[in-house]
Amino acid sequence: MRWGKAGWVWLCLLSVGCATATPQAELPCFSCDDQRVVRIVPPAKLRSNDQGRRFQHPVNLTQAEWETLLRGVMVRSTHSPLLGTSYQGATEPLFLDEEVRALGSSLRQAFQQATEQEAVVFSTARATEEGPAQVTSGAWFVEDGRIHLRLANCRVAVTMPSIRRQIWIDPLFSQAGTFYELAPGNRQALVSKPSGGGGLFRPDPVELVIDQSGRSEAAAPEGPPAVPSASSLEERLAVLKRLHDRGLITEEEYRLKKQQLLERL
Amino acid sequence: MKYSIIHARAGIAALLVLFAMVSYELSGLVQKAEAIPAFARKYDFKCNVCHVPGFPKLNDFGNLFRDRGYQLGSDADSPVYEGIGMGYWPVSLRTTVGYQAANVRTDGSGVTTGGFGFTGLDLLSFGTLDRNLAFGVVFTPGLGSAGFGTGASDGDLEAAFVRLMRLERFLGVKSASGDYLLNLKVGKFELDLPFSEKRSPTLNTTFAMYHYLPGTPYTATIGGTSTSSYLNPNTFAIGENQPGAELSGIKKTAGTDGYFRYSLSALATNSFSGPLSGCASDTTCGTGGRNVNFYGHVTQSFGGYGIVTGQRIGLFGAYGTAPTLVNPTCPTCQAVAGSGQPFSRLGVDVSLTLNGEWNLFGAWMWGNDSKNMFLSQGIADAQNASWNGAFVELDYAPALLPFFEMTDWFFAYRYDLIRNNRQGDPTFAKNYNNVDSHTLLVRYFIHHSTRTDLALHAEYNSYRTTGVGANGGDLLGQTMLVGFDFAY
Repeated sequence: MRWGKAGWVWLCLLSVGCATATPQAELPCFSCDDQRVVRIVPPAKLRSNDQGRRFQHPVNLTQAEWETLLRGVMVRSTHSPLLGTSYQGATEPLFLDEEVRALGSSLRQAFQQATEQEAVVFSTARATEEGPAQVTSGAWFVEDGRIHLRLANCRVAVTMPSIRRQIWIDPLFSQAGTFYELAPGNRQALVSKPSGGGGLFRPDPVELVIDQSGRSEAAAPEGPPAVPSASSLEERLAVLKRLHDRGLITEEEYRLKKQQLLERL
Repeated sequence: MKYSIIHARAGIAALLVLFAMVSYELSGLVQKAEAIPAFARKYDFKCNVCHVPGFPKLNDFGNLFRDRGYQLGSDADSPVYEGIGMGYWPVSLRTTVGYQAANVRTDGSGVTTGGFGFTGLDLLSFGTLDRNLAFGVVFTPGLGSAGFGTGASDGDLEAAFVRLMRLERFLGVKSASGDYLLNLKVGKFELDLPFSEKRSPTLNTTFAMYHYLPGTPYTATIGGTSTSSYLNPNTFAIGENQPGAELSGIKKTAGTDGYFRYSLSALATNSFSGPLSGCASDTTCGTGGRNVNFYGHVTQSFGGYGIVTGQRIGLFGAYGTAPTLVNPTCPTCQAVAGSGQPFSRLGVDVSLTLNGEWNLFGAWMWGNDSKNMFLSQGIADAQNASWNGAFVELDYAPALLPFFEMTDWFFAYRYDLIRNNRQGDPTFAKNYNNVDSHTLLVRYFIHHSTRTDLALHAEYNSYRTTGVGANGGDLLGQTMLVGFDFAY
């Protein structure tokens, strides 16, 4: 009789367990590994309010053009303390050079194959020195002659493998609690367009709209300078110094990279 | 599709409400658990960086963070680091508000109680005083209507400790990054239990094994009244926070891609108010006592920490003596332990994970209390009391709930078991005070940020304690709790 009382419990657990065995559909993917993913998503994988949108795909931008676009996306840290006034940190590039190169190549390939109903989503993980990996993810698409970036996660610390796996499956799967916000530059603007991906306690991700009036402008957008700000350069030099002090890079690598950073001033 | 999902979500919410409305019953001690949003504020982390979604259970990263003295190994560990999160306030609070009901039945009759209220209140502060100097304080204020109005609670400093990390450096041992080989904790703290009760998601169900005492009915252990019992001067329970000192360490083991952990505690904990040997009837004697007891736990994990990824095995045990004698040099002082009144506990624990979402874990423990403890209480023909305790729990924390495509759900089921082999008082049946307890809970993380947590919590527990009823019958209890669990 006692087992009977617990029977429904096991039945529920069994049901949930079987449900988790539902296979995920394979999607076309570019540069997919545990650090980065870029993939085309069909309409059904977009958020509900996006499913009727028509994009101007495919798009033929060169890798260099994509890299320029990626370098032009800037963010700044923002904090709202318990007491006192909010403050914003320095504006800095969203992507590191390594990420720009990898994403630029993959985005070029993906947009050459995307159709007008498909968007291109991405996720990238950045290892930090001691803490958890920082994940940035979202979607790119072209609409009304402008390039849109919907940023679902910006440098969000992720330690749970199941959460990371879910973001890899669905880069528009938003984790609350970001401390960064997009900082639009020239020919860039932020729009808040409900995507249906938010929720009662989750705001919709914002979109960065990049004005691409002509390919030549796309190749050289008048966005924020790609050169890192003084503060970010200082941070990079500090990170470089720590890596060297810990023996993770050689003396030669340290001097070479330091010289490269200083030359960008 | 859009509306079907909305309807499904509404249906789930309705089910939870229905769960609350139709459930009857309960009693219960509401367990205190810990979640520390102060760390989220300090490091700008969301809560699920350290916790399995639906706090307070720690994930692998959170367990490592705790084992390493609340340090990431970065500059931000220092409380005076200039770049520390601007929202940092080193104190957190936690309570649960909602509806709790309980039903206790024995010998054909039962009592049902229920009502809205709150559990209690924890004020927590954990962190670092400086690099490799950790601390923790948990204050529970006295409340007039704690436990959902079932009674008042006494204020207590539930935990207060300082932890000195990486003492191996003073012995000339250079540890690898991430290894903390020799750490000393002094104060009052939760023991290094196989699975932390303070960080368990169950709110009104204890781990029976952690608190079981031969002679004391399980219902009394969880806050109910005992209808029959026999005296046992041993009040040591590994689930209670204990004052003492603990040596511990953690080391990454490359061969297993896991971690080796150990802890060894010397504790002084006992307090017993029963008759003491050597106390004349017309004399005022001390009513409490303290003795040094020992507790230890070692674990080895494989392929991860063993809670979210990888697997883990462990061995733990305790040994000590209970005070039963009047202090001959000071009868009114604390009692002392006579020779031959030892108790011992020995157990193993296992944690298995699957897919980063499932965690099946459990522990088994054997306990033995010397017959001299019971002889000291005037029990004729007393014998060693021995028993086995165990529990097994299955946790499911899906990144995305199947079918409903919802995040932040947490499900758990636990079975607690106590089986007595021999009673200290031979007049009691062998199966007296055997326990079977089933617990099922569902949590939905309504909101979590780098500042705060709010979870909807529904928990149901059913237990049976053998032979402790007024007429020797079994005592059956059920408890149900539906509420909002929040931390700031």
